[in-house]
Amino acid sequence: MRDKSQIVDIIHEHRALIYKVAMMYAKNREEVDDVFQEVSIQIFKNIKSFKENCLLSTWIYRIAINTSISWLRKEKKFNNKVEIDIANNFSVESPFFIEDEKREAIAELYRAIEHLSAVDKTLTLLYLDEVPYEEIANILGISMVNVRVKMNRIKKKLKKY
Amino acid sequence: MNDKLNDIKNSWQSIDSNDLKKVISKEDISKLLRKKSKTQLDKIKYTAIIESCIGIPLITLIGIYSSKPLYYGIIMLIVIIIGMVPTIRIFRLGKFENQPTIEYLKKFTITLDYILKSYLLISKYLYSIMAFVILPISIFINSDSFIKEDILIVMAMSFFLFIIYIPIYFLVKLYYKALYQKPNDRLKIILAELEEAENEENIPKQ
Repeated sequence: MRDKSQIVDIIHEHRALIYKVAMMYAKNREEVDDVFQEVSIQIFKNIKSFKENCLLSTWIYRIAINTSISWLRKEKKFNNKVEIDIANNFSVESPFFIEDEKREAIAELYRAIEHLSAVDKTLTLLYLDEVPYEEIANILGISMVNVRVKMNRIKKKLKKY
Repeated sequence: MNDKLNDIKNSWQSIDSNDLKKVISKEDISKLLRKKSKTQLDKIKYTAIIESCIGIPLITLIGIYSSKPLYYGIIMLIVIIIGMVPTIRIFRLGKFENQPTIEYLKKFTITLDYILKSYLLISKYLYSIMAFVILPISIFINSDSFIKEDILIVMAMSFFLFIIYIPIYFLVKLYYKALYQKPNDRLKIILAELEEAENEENIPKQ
């Protein structure tokens, strides 16, 4: 049984992971902060159900992804123009300082993921974070073979952009 | 292409908590945990709680000021129970948040479908039952003797309830669809994509 300070420590330790998940789904800084808050609350509420049979980071990914997916509901109010602006102004909207030499690569990533579905975005995120396929399968609840197949397709899609 | 992807991967991985624009202390996180949650699930829970907070005192007041409090108490208790049963499922959904995404989405969409169907069914038939069963019985029980005027009152009130029933039903339908169906449709798309990926494995290779 963990007390509140231990849970706060866990969230604090994984704050970059949570922000990276939030960055994948949210459209601006305000939304990123909202998602961060929601994920933190859900971790706090659900921590007692965490069992040591999986990695804590895997469990946090699950909570963060599930919360982000069910939190998203304002997609339609953004039109394509705004999406392009977000891709171009990612360094303003990003919760992270992006160094100049990394900026082009991350801008490229932002432009590419704008066209992906929520599932593909999730897989891209986990792939970029080098989460093993077995863990990805565990997070999403699909088989490892399918993760591999889907990932190959996403790489092809990303190639087009 | 692979070089480019590796380049993106390396840049992405090199971003860590030291690069965060906003310094998030443990105190900030403690404060965040005290705030109210705004997920779709919580929004539905709060709506259910607000509906109960308005409905229960109203029903209690009707019971207190009626001439037959026990009779009204039982009727209203039945109405509350019928109204609350579908909502109970919402409160159980929270424990699936840490399940694999596909399981979580299945539970979420099935529950929202069930709640929506239940409420549409309740709003469709509850008004009719109230207009044509509960109201006449209530009037007959409350009247001292069975007289011709009672039948006329019942007929008039039933007609009145029937007239207001149609717009109310459509408004209620719109309300429940906005609350349950819209978020559910979006989640179903994500679930379908995951299920499609999962089912591909079962297709025999030619």
